Amino acid sequence: MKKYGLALGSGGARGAAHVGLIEIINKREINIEVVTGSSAGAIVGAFFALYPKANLVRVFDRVIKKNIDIINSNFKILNKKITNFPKMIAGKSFLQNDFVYDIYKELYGRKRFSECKIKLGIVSYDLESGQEIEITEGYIIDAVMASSNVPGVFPPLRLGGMQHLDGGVLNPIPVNFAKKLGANYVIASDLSYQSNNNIKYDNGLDFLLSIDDNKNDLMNRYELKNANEIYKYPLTYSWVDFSAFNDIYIQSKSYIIEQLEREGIQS
Amino acid sequence: MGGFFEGFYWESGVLEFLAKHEENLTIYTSSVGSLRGLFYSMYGENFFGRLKDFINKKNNPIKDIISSFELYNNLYAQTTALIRLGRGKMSLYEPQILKEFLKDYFGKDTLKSLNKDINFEVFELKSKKVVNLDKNTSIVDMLMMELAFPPYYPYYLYEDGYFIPSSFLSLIPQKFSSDSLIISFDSNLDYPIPKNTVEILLKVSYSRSLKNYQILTEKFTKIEPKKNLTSYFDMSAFFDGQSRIKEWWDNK
Repeated sequence: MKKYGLALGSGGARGAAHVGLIEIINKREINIEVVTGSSAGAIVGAFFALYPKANLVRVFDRVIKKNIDIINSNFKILNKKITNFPKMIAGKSFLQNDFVYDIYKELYGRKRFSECKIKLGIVSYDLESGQEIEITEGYIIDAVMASSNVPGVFPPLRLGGMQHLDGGVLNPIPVNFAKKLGANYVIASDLSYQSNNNIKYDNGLDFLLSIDDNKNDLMNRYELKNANEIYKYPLTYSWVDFSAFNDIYIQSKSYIIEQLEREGIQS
Repeated sequence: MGGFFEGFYWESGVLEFLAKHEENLTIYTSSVGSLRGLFYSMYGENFFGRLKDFINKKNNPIKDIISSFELYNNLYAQTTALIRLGRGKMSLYEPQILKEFLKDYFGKDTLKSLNKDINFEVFELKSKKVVNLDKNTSIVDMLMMELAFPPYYPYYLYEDGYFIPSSFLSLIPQKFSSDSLIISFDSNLDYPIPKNTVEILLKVSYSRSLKNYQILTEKFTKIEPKKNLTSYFDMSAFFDGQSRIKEWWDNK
């Protein structure tokens, strides 16, 4: 008997695609019993695990619209090279994550993993040991904060004797973790697609930071080889394009429907 | 073999032992491992003396990198590196100087001229593909690609491709035969807890390469250091590599 798992990948604002996929999964009446998430996948997956029947697009659209000014004003700082330069030597991040905490508090409150309707697993990265961390218990807000803590952008989150950073560092899409939690059929939502292969770098620093992304391909392939259904989205949006949440949701949903039609599956 | 300069002595010790005990080695290399593989294919088991002479040549810019490449734990080096890279320079060192030096040393010889069975692997940034270099590639072009290790050198533009060593992504090359023995010093490097954003990004980058290394070598026999060496650039690292491979060789 199939025990369905859902593995949701990292990718910032492109995580709107996960929302579209979950809607279609619910419409197909697939009973997801395990959900795992990394970074953006943790944000969406945790809410889905708590409230499987919620109207996710309405929830996330409302939260993002309400907070879009503070989100955009913070991420705008990432482009200010002059003010960011000293932070690379004297600090541990370009931004502080208080505004992220406030947003997550709205979504998860003080809910725990034990209150989830679907078994939930979240991945993060421990800066001290350099290891991937699998989180299946405790307060959900802590795990989601840890998992979506982009290195350099936000400071490491001290929790449980570790310094947590983004789960996408070592596990961009936790398919094997979903299997470890009991799923024998894993649906994977992969946000790693990059449409732009132009080689254009402003300077050596830009080059150094950009080419590290190439390390994700091997990790992605390693996870996806054990997935049973894979959804990829040829999106051109960057991970900080939160203003485009709705467009990403609509576009990716149409990609999923096209893929299902090609495979002769009714959505 | 891949890695960067940290494993220069240690991995050379391992290779010298193997070269003395096994006549027909097929070697898969990337980055500094390619430099080692190149000299092995030119001089056989006595490669290391010639390789050291090459590094220590008066005008060899690689010598400077080895003596000053420590960015981690060195705030001054980090600051100067950031200033140089952030102000439009693509790398800390000038690739043209390296190319001129390599041209003087290797001339127009190609990989076809090499005696041993050595594979040189690189990564092309535009196509995102791992490439095993063709035997018609010149030694100079091969080394320019294999030493295009950021932030020291930028990618190397060659036949419309943008090349870096594949071991930047995974510590070792990504394609090798199923009975390969993996030699890696870098997989055992120890990064202390980062103190600032630069160190966080460097450690994260290393962790990702290490994860890819672990994925690639899951089912392979690995020769790695047993202890963290405090000094990479002297003969003690070379002999530690030799004793590590000897231990494996005697028990196999």
